[in-house]
Amino acid sequence: MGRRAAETILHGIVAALVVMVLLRAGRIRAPEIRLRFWLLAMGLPLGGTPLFWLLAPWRLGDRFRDDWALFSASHFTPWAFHGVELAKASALLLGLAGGALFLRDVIPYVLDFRRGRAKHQAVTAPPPALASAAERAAAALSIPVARLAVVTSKRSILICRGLRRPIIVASTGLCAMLTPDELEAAVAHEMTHAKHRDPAFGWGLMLVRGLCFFNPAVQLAARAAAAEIEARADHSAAHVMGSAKAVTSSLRKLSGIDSAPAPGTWRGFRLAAIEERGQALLDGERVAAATSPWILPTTAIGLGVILFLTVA
Amino acid sequence: MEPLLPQNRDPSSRAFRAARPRLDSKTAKNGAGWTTLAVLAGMAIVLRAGDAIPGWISGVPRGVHICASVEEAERRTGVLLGNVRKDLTDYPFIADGIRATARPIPAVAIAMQGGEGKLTFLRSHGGEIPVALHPPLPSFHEIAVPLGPGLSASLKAERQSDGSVWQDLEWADSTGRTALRFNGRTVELLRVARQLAEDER
Repeated sequence: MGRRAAETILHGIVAALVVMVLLRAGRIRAPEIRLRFWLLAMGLPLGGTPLFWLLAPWRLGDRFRDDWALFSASHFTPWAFHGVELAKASALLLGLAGGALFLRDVIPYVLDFRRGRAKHQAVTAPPPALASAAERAAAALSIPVARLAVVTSKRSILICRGLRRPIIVASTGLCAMLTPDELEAAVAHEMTHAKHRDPAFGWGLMLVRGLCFFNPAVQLAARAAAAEIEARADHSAAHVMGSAKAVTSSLRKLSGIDSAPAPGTWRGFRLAAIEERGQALLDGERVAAATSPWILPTTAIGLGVILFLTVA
Repeated sequence: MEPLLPQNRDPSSRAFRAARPRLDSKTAKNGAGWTTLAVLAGMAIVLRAGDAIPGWISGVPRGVHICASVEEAERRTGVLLGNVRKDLTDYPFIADGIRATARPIPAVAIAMQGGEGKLTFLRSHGGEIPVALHPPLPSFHEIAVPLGPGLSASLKAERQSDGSVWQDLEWADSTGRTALRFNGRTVELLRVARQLAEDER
């Protein structure tokens, strides 16, 4: 069991590294395509690795390790530190790192979910600005208007939730804080989440992360996938608005970036990421380059072969 | 995905007009294909190099395993080593000194250090002892010596790369080949070999 978990971790690291280098070297900017690559990095250790165990149990034998494998962690087995095998200690440390990453993200996720549960808070009718923004965004995205719920709160809340029928939850504080353009951009962002069923997708990601809680590479790939989902929604909102300015402006306001975060704090890092996200939109940096449709299948097959030849 | 640069805005619509690609799209696609292959090949090379690190550091070739015990070596190779520990009590095993390989022929090497010198015991199952465990050394003298009734061995004097002289005694029986490499006295080597040969019978 331990060796199989270690192999999943090893495969996750290899897949994530390949995807990371490929996205950078291949200058693949489109969030939609980047998302697929990160899903591949998550899916291979989760689905491909157990398939290898099932279809080719002889991979774990000495003959395969010595004659065919590109890499076998068992070759590191003789190395020990204070009586603890290096390979086992590395796997344990990586497993702990994976667990820490999972907890680091699952707790805020659950808290966000609880915060967005409209039924536990006072609900009011959507203000006309919000309703019309939702209608315009829905028309631009060619989707039916998602359900709106407005909670009475001074805090700026805007979230898309709902597994089967997405609902956009906004707060009165948010409606008061944003200008009409910013509100429309923010709603268009959430509408895009609704269009792509991102809340359900997010729960799926969390489920996969829970299954692979010990795998730091899967955790990081899932985070990257979540970031691409947000980037996709940003781009979509910018298209709806005709300008990235309103999107970045609403992003800045919602994150409270202008309230001078303490440099070096965790909040500071998060805000820096948001700043980067907005800047990428303004610069048009993530313009889709011409990407061959064969790149993803080729990567999947090539990575599959490499992982098949990589044994813990 | 369309670009977001303000200069691409179409004044008659809320949507942006697609930007002109910076590169010829065919060139970009070909480049991306080569990049993908290069990244995959690079990862394969990195993995292969990583796998070779333990061998580079310890000097143990690929396919040779360091075993924790004689029993593990027997289990990995099927070579029976039951009498080794009993017959060679004067030569304690060196740490990480038990090495085994399954190919091309199952074989085991055990490095020992006794009062008379360093001794390496090698045994294969069914044929020549693999070079990975028993690397050939330049020999400058070779004779046949009897080890018992109907059993003779080949004794070679060999020179190591550091100039030291070792003795290499090798014989074959019905199950495989046995060899001893020793840097002590020939008399002691023959004593050990005869004891092993007698027990094997």
